[in-house]
Amino acid sequence: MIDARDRVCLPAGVRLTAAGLHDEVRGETLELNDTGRLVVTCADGRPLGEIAELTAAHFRVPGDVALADVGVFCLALNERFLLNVESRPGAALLRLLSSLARGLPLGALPAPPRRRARINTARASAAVASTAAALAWRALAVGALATVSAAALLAGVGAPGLGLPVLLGAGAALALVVHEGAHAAALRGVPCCLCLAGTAVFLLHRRLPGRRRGLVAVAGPLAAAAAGLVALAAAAAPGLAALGPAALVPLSHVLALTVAGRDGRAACGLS
Amino acid sequence: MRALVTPFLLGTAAVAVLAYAAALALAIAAAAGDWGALNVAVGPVVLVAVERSAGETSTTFGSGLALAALAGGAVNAGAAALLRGRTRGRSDGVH
Repeated sequence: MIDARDRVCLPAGVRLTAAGLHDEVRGETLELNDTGRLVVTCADGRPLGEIAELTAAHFRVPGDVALADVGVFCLALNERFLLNVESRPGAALLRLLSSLARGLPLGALPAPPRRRARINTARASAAVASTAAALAWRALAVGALATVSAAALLAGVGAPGLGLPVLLGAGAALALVVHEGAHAAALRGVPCCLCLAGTAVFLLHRRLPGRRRGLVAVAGPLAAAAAGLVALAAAAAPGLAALGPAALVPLSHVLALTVAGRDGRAACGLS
Repeated sequence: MRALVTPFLLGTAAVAVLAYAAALALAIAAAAGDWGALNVAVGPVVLVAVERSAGETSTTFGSGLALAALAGGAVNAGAAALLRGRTRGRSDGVH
């Protein structure tokens, strides 16, 4: 789902070297041929169409062939979180809806461009702050969706009102930030980045030694659950009972410790 | 042995925290909403019971919660054993 007007750029932590495209987070270098090197050199926020024109002129190939090839190459880099794609405001949503309408009857769901953001793990506080900043829009969207869903559900069972849905939405948004922030804090000193791939959110980093890997894995679910327990304790105070159900949202993150969750599988040495 | 104990402990802890927290949230809601007596049980196994008398509310966490937690741990350990055979090592980590 990339078109000629989308702008492409290398994310922080990915740079072009003499050997190829180096990813500081994974500690790996992807070798590039001349065409790939030219495309990556031009990936400085320029539109994909402009890069395709340059490629067509440089290698003397038809413009439509160059656009198709450059698009496929950029999509492949984006799928590996080595290239960020910036769409025009609203364009990504329109494209998503259009692809959904065309693909849904065939059982194919559209895949929006992936995104990678730098996380500063020099200090635990910086890790939490940079994770919160990188996740702000996603958390807002999750909170809004949870609020609307809860409001519709409660209205359906004859309990209308916005108080509880807003608390549930806030709980969902906060839990996401606390969960990923705790992972990032546990990764202090380890290069990492926040990856957004469709509905999935995760931190990418190099493979860690066994014990550290387990600690990083459990930090997120435990931190979110701890935030839920604090909210539950507050719910016992007079007039704050509505916090009780809302506290269950961050508390539910503790289920990520089971092998049903990515964190649980990592903690058990299964991934 | 450790390959089974770790998922068992994590599964038990996860289900225990969630089950006791849900029971507590239910008790808080029952107390705040003047629901009267509340008894949640699966057959003879009590999960949570809330009793109200003369402005006082007492909550009892039944043995069902502990049993649910142990069952969660067992299921998690079983699932981990099933997954272990199919797992390949990864060169990077995601959380």
